[in-house]
Amino acid sequence: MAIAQMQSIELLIHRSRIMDVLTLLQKQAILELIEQSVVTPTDSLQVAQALAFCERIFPRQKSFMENFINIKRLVRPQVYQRLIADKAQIKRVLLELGKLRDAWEELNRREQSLMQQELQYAVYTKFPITTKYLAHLKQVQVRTGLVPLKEYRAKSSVWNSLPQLAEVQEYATDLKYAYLGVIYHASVAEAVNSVVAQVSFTPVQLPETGSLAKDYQALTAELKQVRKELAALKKKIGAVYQESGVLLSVWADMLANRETLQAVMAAVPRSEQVFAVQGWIESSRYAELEILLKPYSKYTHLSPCAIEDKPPVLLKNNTLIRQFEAVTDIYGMPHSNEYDPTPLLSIFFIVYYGLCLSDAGYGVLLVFFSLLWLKQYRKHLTSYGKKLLTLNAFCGVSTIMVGILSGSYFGLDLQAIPFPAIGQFLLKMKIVDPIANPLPMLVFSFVLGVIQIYFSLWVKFFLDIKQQGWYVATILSGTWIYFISGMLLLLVTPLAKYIVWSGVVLLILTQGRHHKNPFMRLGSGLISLYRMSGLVGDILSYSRLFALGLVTGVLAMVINLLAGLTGQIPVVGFILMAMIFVAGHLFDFFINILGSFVHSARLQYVEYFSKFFEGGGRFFKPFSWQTKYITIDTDRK
Amino acid sequence: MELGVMLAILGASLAVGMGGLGSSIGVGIAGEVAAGVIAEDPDKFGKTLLLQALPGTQGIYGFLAGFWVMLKINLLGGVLAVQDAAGWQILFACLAVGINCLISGVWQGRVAAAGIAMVGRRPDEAGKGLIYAAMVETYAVLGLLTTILLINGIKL
Repeated sequence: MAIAQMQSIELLIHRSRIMDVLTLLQKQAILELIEQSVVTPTDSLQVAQALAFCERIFPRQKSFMENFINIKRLVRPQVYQRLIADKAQIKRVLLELGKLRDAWEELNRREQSLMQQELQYAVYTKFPITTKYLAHLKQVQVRTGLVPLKEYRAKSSVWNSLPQLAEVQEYATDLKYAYLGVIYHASVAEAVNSVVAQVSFTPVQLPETGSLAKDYQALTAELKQVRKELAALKKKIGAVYQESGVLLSVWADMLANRETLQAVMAAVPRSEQVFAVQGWIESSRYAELEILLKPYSKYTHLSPCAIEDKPPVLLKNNTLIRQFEAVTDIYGMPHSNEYDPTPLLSIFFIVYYGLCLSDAGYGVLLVFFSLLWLKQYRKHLTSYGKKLLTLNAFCGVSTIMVGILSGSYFGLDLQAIPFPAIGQFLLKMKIVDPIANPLPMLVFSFVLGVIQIYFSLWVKFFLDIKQQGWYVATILSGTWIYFISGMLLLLVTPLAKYIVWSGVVLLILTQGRHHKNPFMRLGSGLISLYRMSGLVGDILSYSRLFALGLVTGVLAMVINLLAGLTGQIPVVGFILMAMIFVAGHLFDFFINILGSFVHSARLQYVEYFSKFFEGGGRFFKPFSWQTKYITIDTDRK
Repeated sequence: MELGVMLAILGASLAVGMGGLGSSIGVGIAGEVAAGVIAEDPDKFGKTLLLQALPGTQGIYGFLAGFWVMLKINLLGGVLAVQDAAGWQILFACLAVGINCLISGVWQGRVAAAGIAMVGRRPDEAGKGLIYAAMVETYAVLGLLTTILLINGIKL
């Protein structure tokens, strides 16, 4: 039950060394700064934009797993140092990319506008006349335009009301529109207008040109040319990106971190000569910080100080228990004066998970996938991701054990597998069959619930002793343990009823102790008995362990059944059977690991934590290097 | 076909149908919100997908209950004789999972949708969203459990 002891410190730094010292702190990730909370990291503009531009044109193909694991470029420290040192190169690349980008955008604009024109010409070419031709007309005017085809057909009678000196010509129709010209003598313009107003007539202004066809040809030729240039440009950008992608990523991350640092520096309170940094550090690392600051000893002064704020919380556990922090982290951190519940939930969680997944075959899959991904994405996983996968590997083992005890291997019928000897051997290890006889497993789930809830009462008791002393602890939680123990003993001997009854009396007498009025005391004590119904409800909630286990098992059976049915189809049957078998079991596996994890966690949070654990602490977030594009690969292998 | 078998089949169909209905609405609601979040930031696909999958379990529970009925009356091999009373009993037993899954599927979908919206703003808190959604699922699990225990107790 370990929460790292935190020490608040004040570090005075002379202004001449402020950059150096903050850089050191950022690199070491040892200290959480008070000022850090006001800073939001921003993308350093120029480099990040250049990078975003390249990524827009050459989007990286992402594997499905990348939706769950953030994969960044791996950069070796030597390479990083070399790239960061070379300022001339990044300047050159940025300049070049800037030019390429301007050209790219210019060409894109031209392409867009040409495409727009192409669309317009598709309309113009429907009309057999040109503006040049119309310009010769003096007495006669022509209005060109289009009308939705449906409306044109439905309202054809409208045109009958045109005056004598006017007529409508249908030049062309396509699926949507009719392309019309209304030709009329200038003297009847108004009458024509009123007729045209009755339909949705969209006027088309024909271009002033001699030959539409010639223009159109020129247009397509230009578009082709622009597209060719774009393709060539894309190649060029690709070459630059290929060559300098790493460089850009490194600089983008470096600059972003420097900006964070500068923002923090700006927020630190200062006098004319001295910056005063305040923050939190693990007490055990205080000496380490002193050593780190040695080179700056003339310019810095480190001392413990009091900070009014509550300290942040960092869990400290051994390698085994640390993996279970993946569960605690989701709930949130304990208060700084509480205990870390991680070790207390570990064994329960692993057993529950096993019961929910409950199939040895799936347990093997879980171990396999967890270890595979741990190995494959080792460099990219966050520390949380690593914990989560390792935890799942543990749970895979417990699942295998549950599977063996319940005789479940991908839901196969052990009587019918090809090697009877193996089947018989596996059957010998089977002690329960939840599908044929559900009750024992259901009862077992409740028993687990009773164990965990009873255990939680003891945990609460010991915490109360630590925090409030023997006397209060005995009255507050000891009485409950006495009463519940009596209830449990009742299963063994009827004599325990005396313990239960005396327990009831004790509870009524003690649980209202915060009231002064004696009647209120008794009343409050009586009401406290109501908590019993809550406890029973909590225990019933553990039935999910059995139900979820059953879900996995029965679904696996159904998949085998379906696969078996398709196996009887001639020729393709075998392939279909294999496909249904593999896809079906993977589906059952993944949907149920999700459920197993979530429900096992819920039992900890809701039924277990509620008895002794409050939470609400703040994660310890040291001032550190954060990257978006790269991971420094310190691996020597 | 005798009435008993018909009633049992009706029960199985109701269980599968209502469970599927609840889940399709739930997964649908969650999916709509997920698509909105992805429009802003495609990198959140993984987390939103997990949350969207959660209300899908009701459909599975309904399906399992339906399958449990099929096993009970041996519908896939020669059908057993089912008395009328037993048929009614199976039908009623199926309502536990059906009703629970229909309603909880929809609500779990709404909670999951809210969780997905939360992931849009605070991607690190996806785990909490999962737990919230799982709170609703409890009742679907209890429904399935009741149906299975009831059917197990019925004499054909």
